Amino acid sequence: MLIRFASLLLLVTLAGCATKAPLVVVDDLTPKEQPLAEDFKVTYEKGLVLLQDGEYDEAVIFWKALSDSHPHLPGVWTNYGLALYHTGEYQASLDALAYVDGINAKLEAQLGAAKQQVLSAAVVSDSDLTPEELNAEPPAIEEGTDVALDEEAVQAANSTAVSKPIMLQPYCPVHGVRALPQRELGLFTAAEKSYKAAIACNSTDAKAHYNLGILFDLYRNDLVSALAEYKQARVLMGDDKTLDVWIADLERRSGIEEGKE
Amino acid sequence: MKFFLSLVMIAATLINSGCSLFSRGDQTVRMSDITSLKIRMVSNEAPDVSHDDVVRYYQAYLAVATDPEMRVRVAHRIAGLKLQSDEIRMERMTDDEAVLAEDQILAKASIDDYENLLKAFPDRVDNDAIYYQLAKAYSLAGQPYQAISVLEELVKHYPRSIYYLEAQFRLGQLLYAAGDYEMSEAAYQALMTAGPAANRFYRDAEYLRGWSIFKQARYEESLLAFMRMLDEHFPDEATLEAVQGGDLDLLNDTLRIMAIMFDYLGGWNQIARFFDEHGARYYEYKLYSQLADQYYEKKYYKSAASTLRAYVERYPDSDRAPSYYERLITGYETAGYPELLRKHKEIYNERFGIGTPYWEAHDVKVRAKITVALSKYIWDLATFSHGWAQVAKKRSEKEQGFNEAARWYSEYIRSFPKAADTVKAHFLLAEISFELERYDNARNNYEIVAYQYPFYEGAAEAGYAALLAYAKYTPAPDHELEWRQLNVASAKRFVTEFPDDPRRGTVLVNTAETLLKDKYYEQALSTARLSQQTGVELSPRYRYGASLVQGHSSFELDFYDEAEISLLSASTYEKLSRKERADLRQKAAAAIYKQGEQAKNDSPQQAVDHWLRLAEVVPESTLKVNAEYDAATLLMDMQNYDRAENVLLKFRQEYPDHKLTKDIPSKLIVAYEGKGEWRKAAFELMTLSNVAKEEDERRIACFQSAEYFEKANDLDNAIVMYKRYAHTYKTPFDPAVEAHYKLDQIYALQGDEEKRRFWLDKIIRLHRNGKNQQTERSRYLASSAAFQLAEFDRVAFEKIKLTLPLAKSIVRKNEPMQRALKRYTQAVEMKVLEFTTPATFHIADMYAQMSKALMTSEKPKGMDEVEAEEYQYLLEDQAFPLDEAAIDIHQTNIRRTYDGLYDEWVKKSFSSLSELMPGQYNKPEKVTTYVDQIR
Repeated sequence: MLIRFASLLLLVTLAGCATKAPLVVVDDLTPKEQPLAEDFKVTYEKGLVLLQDGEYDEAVIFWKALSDSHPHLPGVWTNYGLALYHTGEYQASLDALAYVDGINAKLEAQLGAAKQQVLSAAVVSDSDLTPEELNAEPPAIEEGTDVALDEEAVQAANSTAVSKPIMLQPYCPVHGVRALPQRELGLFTAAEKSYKAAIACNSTDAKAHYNLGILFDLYRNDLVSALAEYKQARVLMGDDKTLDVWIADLERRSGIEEGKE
Repeated sequence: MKFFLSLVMIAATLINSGCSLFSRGDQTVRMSDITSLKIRMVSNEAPDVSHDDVVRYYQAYLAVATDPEMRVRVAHRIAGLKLQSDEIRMERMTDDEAVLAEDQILAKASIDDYENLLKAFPDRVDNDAIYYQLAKAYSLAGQPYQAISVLEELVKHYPRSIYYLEAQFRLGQLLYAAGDYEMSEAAYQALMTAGPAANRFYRDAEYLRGWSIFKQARYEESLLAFMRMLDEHFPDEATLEAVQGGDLDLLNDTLRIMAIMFDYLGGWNQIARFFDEHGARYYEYKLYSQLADQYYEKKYYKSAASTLRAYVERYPDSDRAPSYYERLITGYETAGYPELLRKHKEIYNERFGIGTPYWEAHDVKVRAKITVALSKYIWDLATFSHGWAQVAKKRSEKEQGFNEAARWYSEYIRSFPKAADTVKAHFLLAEISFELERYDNARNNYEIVAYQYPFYEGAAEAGYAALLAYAKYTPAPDHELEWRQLNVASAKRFVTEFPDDPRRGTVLVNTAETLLKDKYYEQALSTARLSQQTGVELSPRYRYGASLVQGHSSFELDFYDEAEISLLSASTYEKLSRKERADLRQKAAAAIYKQGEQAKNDSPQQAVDHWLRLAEVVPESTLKVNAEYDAATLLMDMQNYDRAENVLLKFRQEYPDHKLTKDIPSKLIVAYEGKGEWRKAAFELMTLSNVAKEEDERRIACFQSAEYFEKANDLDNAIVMYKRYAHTYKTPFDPAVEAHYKLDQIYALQGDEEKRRFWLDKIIRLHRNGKNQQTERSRYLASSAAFQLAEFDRVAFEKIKLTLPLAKSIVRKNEPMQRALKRYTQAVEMKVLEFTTPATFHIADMYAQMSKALMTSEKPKGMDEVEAEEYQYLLEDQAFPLDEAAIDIHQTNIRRTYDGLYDEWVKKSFSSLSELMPGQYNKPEKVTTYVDQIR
């Protein structure tokens, strides 16, 4: 799922000396993921097995160790938080999952910076804007001026280039996981927000709709919202008799059924 | 020459007889004193030709000469030569009477020759020479009257003769010698009438005329004559100063005879009278001097003094006035008139002394002369008075003498500030001032001697004497301070200027004592220190003094360590009274105490050491109690509780009745608290809770005691104290509630449910009765108590099984259930969240349990299927409302989530509801098993 950015031309102009000709530096700023070691995936899957087998205490230890060695990987923190949730360590679970929020925020900053560079390059290369509009201090570039390479300019451009990101888009699974310990701790508003984030991240996340419906139903007494979420889950999940019963019950209790009638 | 010699001798004889009153000791007044007469009579004839030869030649000529004129002239010449020869002979052999007689014979021969010539040629115009020679021959022949007669003839008949003037002069002399002063005066007058021009006898004539008049006792005229002579020949001071030889003799003789005449006329006053009448003369001083001399010669000291004073009075501004007065004083000294001598020395000082108008008006030369005499006179006057005072026996005389001496020493100092012996004057003046008890003046002069004349042999003595003067003086009260300051300055100067003086140590001690008296502590201290560093062994009295000053001063200056040592040292002085010694030791103790205070902030350990050693150094000091108490307090502040405990316990033991002892428990409590010895602290608090003065203090101590017993795990004593508190102090409300709560907690630890029930119930009632005193805490504790009481009954309820007969067991189980429900409800009603949700849950759950207990209760045996079904229906009918109640109450609990409340009891209510109403509440989330997306 790599998104490749188009190659950009970065025009760097040097401030100060009007006698020097403006420079154009060409560089490929396309963000690229850092490669993962092959054996890491194997290790990762061992951790998944522990969770699958319900070996939560072991899983906590495993994922803790992996988070120490690979703190930049959101999947590690998410599974660590999941293991803690299963052991009832709700606050610790939230603390672990918060690392993923940090990773996501950092990625967004990186991507934002890359985007800004791309925009800047595009603006300069058009040469339609005045130097003042470039929000910088370079002298005006005359049309037809020859472009020459300058070593210093290249180094300066590289120093401001976006570093290579760990991934190319925010990590979505953390939201649905985070909502669980939040609900357990009575942080219902936060849990709602997490579920909604999960849905925003992945609108086809049936579990998120399902669990958000329960949150509205049992803990927020918002039967209408609960019904809507159950129904959306029902849509995404296909046949589900439990959901059908809940929907019918809710429709009854909330008076929606009567309204239909 | 013999002729004149004879004249002189005659005159001398006459004067001698007339002036016998003026004899000068062994000398006789003679006309020969007027030596100018001799000198002026030198012959101008050539001496080297033999008179006899020339006479023979002339006689040979006469034998052959025929010209009468020539014969007369030769005869004149022969007679003249013979006379001249006779004169020479007489000059050479005046003592040989035989020769003298021969000369007279020869002279007579000449007389005959001249007489013959006159007879032979009576009318010759040159007979004046014959007369002249004849007169001379008569003189040589010792016939003055013939000579006078001849000379009278000569001047009468030959007024134009070249011999006229000399003839008159000789005539005057011969007449004078013959006692015919009137005629003599006339002869001299004739000479004077001839005028001074070409008149070599003029001045002598004036002089001798004066004498001639004098001889006639016409003194006034005589004086005028002499005055005229002096005026004419000594017109000014310069001529008088230049005079010498015969002129000087003439002058002196003139002055002498004039002085004599003034004496005849009435004495010294006549000089002024005379010159007032005839005009003042510059040489008057000579006359005063001469007259004074004459008086002195006759030992008429007072007259001489009066003469000299008359001059001074007449010419007070004269340069000579001082010397005239000095002569006067010398005269009295010679005469041996001591009182007059002193009187005039004093007058001398008044008239000519330094600063008098006379002094101011005269130049250095005059002043220099005055200085010599004046210094001697003043010193004489001072030493005389001083000596007189010293031997005087009457106090008044002694005092008068000293006063006089002081006056003269002062005058000496004033007049001769730079003289070599002025220092001595200062010293003697100081001594006198001391004798007169004028100590201010005494010390002033002693200090001048000591410090302005450091090389004076008595300088050190003077310096020390000045200090004695300071000590003696009693100034006016408003000058006491100033005086002591001066004393101190003087003493310091003494020590500085005379560093080797053996008295410097005692001087410093005295000074230090003075400084201390004036509260100049720094100076007093430094001086006292110095007094002990001089290298001089001080006597015990001064050692004591030095230590005393050092002690008091250093105490005032906060040098308490030094104060301690010094005061203790001073207290060893054997002449101290018991009280004095005790006071010093008490102050030393205070110094120790103060050392502690000083060290308190920076070196608290040292402070403690000081305070604790106070009792060792000065065991009798009352300060030791405070010191030990303060030591304990400081140890407490330092959190040195081990040592503090020891000190406090010792203090309580030693001073059980001291007022400070009452504070010991509170301090010990803190110490024990610091050491974590809670039980000991609790016992002290227990004591305090009994003995503290204030009730509130006792109350707090009681509670704290209980707390500390509890903390020390001495629960029995803790219960005693909490109970005591709970029973005794209903107010204030909060601690009363806490005490009840504490008792519940302790009994909980001891597992004594019964006691717990008692105190829990009391908590609830206390809260309820507290009304407006109720607090969140009391509400919480009351709610907790109600909840706990409910729990007791709930547990009992849960233990009871529903067995047959069911009615009884239901009642048995219902009883605790109802009590529990009541208490849970009570807990909920108090709206303490912590107990609201569990109480709500337990209420709901107890209903559910009761329902379940009914449904699972022991069934009666022997029922058939229908009966069993009926029985089951009956049970369900009984259980259903219980389930409804349970659901309803659980739902109440879970609705709290809508307000954001979600705890374990709410969760449990959810859990219960998921069983009671699974369709609505049994809704678990779908939980992801794992997340395979790595990133």
